[in-house]
Amino acid sequence: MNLARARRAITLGQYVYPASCLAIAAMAWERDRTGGAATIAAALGLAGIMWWVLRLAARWLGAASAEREDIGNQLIQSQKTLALGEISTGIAHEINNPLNIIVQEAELIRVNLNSDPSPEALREIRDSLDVIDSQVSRCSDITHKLLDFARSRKTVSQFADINRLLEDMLALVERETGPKNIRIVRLFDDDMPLIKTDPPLLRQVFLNILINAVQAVEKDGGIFVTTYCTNDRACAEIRDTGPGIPAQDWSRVFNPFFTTKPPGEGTGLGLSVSLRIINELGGNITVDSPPDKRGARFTVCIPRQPGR
Amino acid sequence: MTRIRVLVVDDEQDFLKLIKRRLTRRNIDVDTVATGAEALEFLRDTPVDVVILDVRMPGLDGIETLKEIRKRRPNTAVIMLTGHGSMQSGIEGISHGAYDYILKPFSIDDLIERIRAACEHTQLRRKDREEA
Ligand SMILES: Nc1ncnc2c1ncn2[C@@H]1O[C@H](COP(=O)(O)OP(=O)(O)OP(=O)(O)O)[C@@H](O)[C@H]1O
Ligand SMILES: [Mg+2]
Repeated sequence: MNLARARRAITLGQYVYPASCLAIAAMAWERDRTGGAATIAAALGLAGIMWWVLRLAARWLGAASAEREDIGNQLIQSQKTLALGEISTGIAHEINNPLNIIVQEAELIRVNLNSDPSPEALREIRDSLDVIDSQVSRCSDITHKLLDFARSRKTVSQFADINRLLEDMLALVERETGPKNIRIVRLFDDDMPLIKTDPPLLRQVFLNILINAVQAVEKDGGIFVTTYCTNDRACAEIRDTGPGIPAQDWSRVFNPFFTTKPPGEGTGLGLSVSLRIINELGGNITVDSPPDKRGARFTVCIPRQPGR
Repeated sequence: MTRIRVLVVDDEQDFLKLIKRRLTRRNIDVDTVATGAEALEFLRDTPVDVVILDVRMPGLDGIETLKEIRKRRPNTAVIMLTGHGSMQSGIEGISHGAYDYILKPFSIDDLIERIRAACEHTQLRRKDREEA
């Protein structure tokens, strides 16, 4: 509302200002012949009115921008609440599944131990213990990932060759893409400068995004890896021919526990950890669809000079 | 520059012997052990700059050993070594703080370059911590 009023005042000022200039000029011209205090008073009056109109407009603008900030904050707050909801259900879901299995197995062991256990029952008990073991390690895997997400990392700056870091991770990934007939195409900029950054953290991010791409393509497709530099940033783009991500999910994929994968296959922490890492390195990750192609495209950019 | 000290952990004796000879010739101090448990035992008394760790070993496996090393000796860089690396073991190792990942077979120059980088990384971190 304030914004509308301020806009009106400024539109008005747009005409009044040149008009008043013309009027003052006319009066000055007139003054050569008649002269007099009346002309000066009129000019001062006009200037005063102008000042008042513009001041009012400025005040309305100020109020409007404060209003907008307020709304923005509310929006961020509600997004945070949403993300928190997703996190809570995520943790509950991820931990409850293994807990449920552990409870069942424990019960089975108890039943098997009730009477003097036969060799058959003993074998079953051993199996149960194995299952419990693996479910516990699944739980600890989740808590590890969570802690890894929450941890604030001390980053270290060391000269690194982005192409080489990507190449290393591609070598790991290629052992699995070959049999699945997923082609990996490298479109590296050969003139990438050495970047001061934290190599192990960057490796983690690249590998996370590459694994997602492999999982999205499943089989028979391609993954295209591009590197390039702008004035102040070094970027890596990882594009795949999988099903892609609908636009309304572009920001949600970075929320912790947002996953579309079946339980046990994805915890939904890969991208959230990656974004955190890249933010700590002063960069950003964006996602979109490559123009008129299917699939998803993730772009990681970090500053060429740290601390900028 | 001080000499770099490395511990290599692998269950293949021939490989240990070979790598020790080759790295020593390149002015790197090398100790070798055959299992994860021995590695932890060794590290209790002797700090090293870099541990080179085979992912797949009988007994305490590579990832478990990595976790323990990171817990007990956070100033030691760990490079994972694997002949049959999978993406999953890769991301597991890296997210547990492995500095780097090397696939067998590798060239000795490549390994040395990575050892140097890993060493520099921990030194920088230590320096940061002291300044803070
Ligand atoms: N390349 C891609 N193509 C299509 N969807 C993707 C792609 N990358 C990520 N996504 C979507 O984003 C979600 C979140 O990804 P993220 O890596 O954070 O978690 P995850 O892969 O599901 O689980 P985790 O990485 O913890 O094993 C995925 O479940 C998937 O729906
Ligand atoms: Mg993932």
